[in-house]
Amino acid sequence: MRIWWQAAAFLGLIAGVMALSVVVRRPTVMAFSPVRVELPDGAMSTSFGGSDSGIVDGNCLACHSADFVRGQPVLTAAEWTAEVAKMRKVYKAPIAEADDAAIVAWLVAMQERRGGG
Amino acid sequence: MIDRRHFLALAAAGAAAPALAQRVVDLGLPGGPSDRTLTSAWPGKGEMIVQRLRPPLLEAPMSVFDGALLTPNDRHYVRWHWPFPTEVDPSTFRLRVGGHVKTPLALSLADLQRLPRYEIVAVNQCAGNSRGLFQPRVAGAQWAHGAMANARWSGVRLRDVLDLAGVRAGAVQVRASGMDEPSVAGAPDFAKSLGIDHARDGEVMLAFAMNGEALPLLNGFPLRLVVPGWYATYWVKMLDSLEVLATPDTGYWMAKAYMMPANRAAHVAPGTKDFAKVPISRMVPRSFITSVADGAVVDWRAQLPVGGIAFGGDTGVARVDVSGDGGRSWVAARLGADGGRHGFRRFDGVVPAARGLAVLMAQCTNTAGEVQSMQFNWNPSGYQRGVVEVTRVRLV
Repeated sequence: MRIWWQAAAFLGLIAGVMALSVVVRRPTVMAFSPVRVELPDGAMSTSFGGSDSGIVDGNCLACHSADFVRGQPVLTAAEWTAEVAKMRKVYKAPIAEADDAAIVAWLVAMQERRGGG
Repeated sequence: MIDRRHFLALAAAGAAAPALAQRVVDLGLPGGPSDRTLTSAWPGKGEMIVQRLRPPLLEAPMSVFDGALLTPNDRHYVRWHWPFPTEVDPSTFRLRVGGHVKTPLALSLADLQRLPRYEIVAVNQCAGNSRGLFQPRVAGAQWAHGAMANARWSGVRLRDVLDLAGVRAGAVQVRASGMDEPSVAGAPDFAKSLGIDHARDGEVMLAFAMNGEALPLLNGFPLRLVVPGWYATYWVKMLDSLEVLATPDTGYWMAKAYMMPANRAAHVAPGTKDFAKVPISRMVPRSFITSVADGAVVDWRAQLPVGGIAFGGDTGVARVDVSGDGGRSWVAARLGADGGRHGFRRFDGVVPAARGLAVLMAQCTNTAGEVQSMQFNWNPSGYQRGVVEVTRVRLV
């Protein structure tokens, strides 16, 4: 009789361990807290800098910061013209075609001032 | 310790804000401009290289990859096309599943968590990672090698979500889109599509956790697509819309952008403009020496340890060979623990070395037999760089 109780207790223990392992193996339900962040992208991205940057400040910075333009490798006037056209045609930037020449001239001059990198 | 030639200066952002002092890093981009700001100012991020402030492009410094094989969440690179919400309430968040399905759904995060949990370790790499090293140079985000990360993703299979809605016969693709929105009306909303069979392969998943924690907002909180083995352009962040399509996606982001030459190497002769194109997809094998930085001056040892990380692209790493003489001779490196075929794999080898300049290389062969080429690939978008990279060090 006693052996049966011991066996039952042993089996119970096994079952308990198995049940526990099932519980442990079940993935924890994640609780998500509201998230709110402030991006440090403002002050340094509102102007290309310099007294003559009005043409690019007004046409480029609504969508992206100046660092991205300044970080580009040396591009020819034709390549810059294509980039400006892409911004207007594909990304719908409200750039007047009449401004293209002045924008491209500024970009080329910016890279020349830099000394070609 | 490594002499980090590239850390040029401690450039204070301004005397008024010493707490925000920023360092400058030289990424070694051929022809320049090569200097970038290093900052820890971004929410949830440690020190990162700023490629663009708005919308943010943040790159991990290479030293990150010499540490833990799973990239820490606060060093996981950041890449956005459009502005995105800076405030997200997970209790009201819903993933809409619609299009060519039997039952359109709006699933909460709690709903998603009732599906079977799925986890995978996988490399998330931007299609344009290392674009700044292309020669001739090309326009775009001028990444060095840090637009990549390795993480353990937790969430649910895309297949299980699609089954919940019931995909109707005739479905060909699933289009994923997130909460980011164009800054100008009429500009193309960011959306990417996967073939229906790929979407249902049991590996493509929706992740709500990265390395056991909720996704950082900058990496797509609260939910993003994970497409193991494929470039990150498909890993849509802040995912809130799945649309099953009965006809192929002809939208801008599938049919015009992220197109590469129609060959496995994504290569055309530099300067070529007209060539057959296909959407970028599977990654190629890559490897990076991280035990020593490019340009470093190190103590000479006849047997120089060379270690780093490799990944197989869209399959596992079979082997990594290392060279100390610019590829003239190679030595098999020892591979570290295998955390799954889509993750980073550590490698460590030893190469014979003489005093003076040593040209170190690593070359990964994946389990499908693809070998990193010694020849660089080129395309006008700067996608899918796969060449054996060069690390030059001076042994003194």
